[in-house]
Amino acid sequence: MNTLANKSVLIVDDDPGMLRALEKVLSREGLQVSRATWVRDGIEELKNHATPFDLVITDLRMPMASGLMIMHAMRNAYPSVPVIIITAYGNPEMTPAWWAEQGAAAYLEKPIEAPQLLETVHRVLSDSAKAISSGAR
Amino acid sequence: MVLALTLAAGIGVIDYSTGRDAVISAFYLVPICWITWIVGRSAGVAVSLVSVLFWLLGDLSLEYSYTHPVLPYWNAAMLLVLFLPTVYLLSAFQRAHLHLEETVRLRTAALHREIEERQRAEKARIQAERLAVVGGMAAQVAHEVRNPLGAIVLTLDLVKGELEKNEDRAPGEGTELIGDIREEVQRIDRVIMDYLALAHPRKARLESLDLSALLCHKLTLMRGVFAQADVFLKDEISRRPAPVNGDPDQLWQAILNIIRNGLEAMPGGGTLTVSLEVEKDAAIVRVRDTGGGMTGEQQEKLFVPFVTSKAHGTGLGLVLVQQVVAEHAGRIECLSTVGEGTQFTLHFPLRNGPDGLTLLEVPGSENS
Repeated sequence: MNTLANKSVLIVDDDPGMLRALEKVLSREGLQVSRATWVRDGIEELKNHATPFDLVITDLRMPMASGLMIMHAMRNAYPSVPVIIITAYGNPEMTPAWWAEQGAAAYLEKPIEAPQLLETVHRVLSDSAKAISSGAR
Repeated sequence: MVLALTLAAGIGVIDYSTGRDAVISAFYLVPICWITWIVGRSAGVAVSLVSVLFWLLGDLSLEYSYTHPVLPYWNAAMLLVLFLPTVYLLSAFQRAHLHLEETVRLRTAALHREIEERQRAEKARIQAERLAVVGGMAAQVAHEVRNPLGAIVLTLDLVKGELEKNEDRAPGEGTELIGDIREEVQRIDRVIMDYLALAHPRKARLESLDLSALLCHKLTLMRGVFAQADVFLKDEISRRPAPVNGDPDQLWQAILNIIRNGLEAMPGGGTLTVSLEVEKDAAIVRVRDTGGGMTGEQQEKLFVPFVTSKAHGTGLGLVLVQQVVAEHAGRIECLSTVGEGTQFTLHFPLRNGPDGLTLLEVPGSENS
């Protein structure tokens, strides 16, 4: 699990309970967790954070704006940072394959179990590490 | 016809015996009109000719003294001039009458069909409207409920982690209780999923698959569930490949819904038979339970949304099954006897040829 230690992650979710639970599960594994309840705050956080985040986890349906906005902001500013989409209720046409096309690293539907979440985070982070190391050459 | 001719002959005889002084030739019209109405124009013409012949024969044999020898023939011709147009007009009238009757009959039938069609469409529209309202609500509720559910599941995982630390890795009562809560959470989520699936039916992503392999694999994973329910699973699945174009998740979900219904129909245990038969152009899945069975009234309402005989059911399970089956160009049948059990039969079209080597597009696959 040392791939997770000291990695920085931004979680954006308008549901405070979900946000709290996600933060607890991830910070236990040694991740540095930042959180935002609003999409606007999330995008601010992205801009102002000292170093780019290693990972962004975002809800899809939120008031005023959607997680898609965060994802597109991320793809533009930090194309190498992976985004995991979590949603309570997805459009059935937005399949995991569709999300992959959009550039999401993973797509999960609530309720998510902790092992499933950690496994996904683990996989996404090691994939992006591989991509970065191979891209550097 | 014979009767008409006899009648005509009878009139001829009366005509002959009463002599020329009493004119009764108009009575020939009785058999002529009658046969025209009953049989038709040619019969009417025939009886007219025979009647005139009788009249002429009578006339000639009476040796009535006419002022000119041609007069009997002239009179006969006059009678024909009376009879034939009558036959013609009457038969035309009769044809129009029959045509009208036939038209009314056809129109009435068409009207009945249209009324039935409209009633069906109206029913379907009401059902679709109901589902749309429920769908909108379901989406809203799902969003509001699945967020806290998600938080509960994650938090439970954390609590479990804490307990396991304190319990020195031996799974204790605390962990068990958490398992119970998790099961209930899953139940809530299943209800939401049912409503969501109904509100926004996911289009089937059809791929070529072997229904036999799918069923065998999924049923193996369910052994524990059967054991817990004290139900004997009788496996009658043909191991012959059953190549179909289908969405494996949806197909299994549909079959699983039926299996669950079967298990719930046998609270005291029993036998659940799952069979697969591969026929020339169809794969036939049967799920049979030895539960209480259903009354005719219950069977009629099987596929009506929100109607359930269970204490805790959404009444959507079989509606979803029906949707999935329809999307796979299949059909579903149910046989049930009170006190004996219920059997559901699902037919799915095989891909072209039993070997499944040639891919055939099935209806609906263009959506995938």
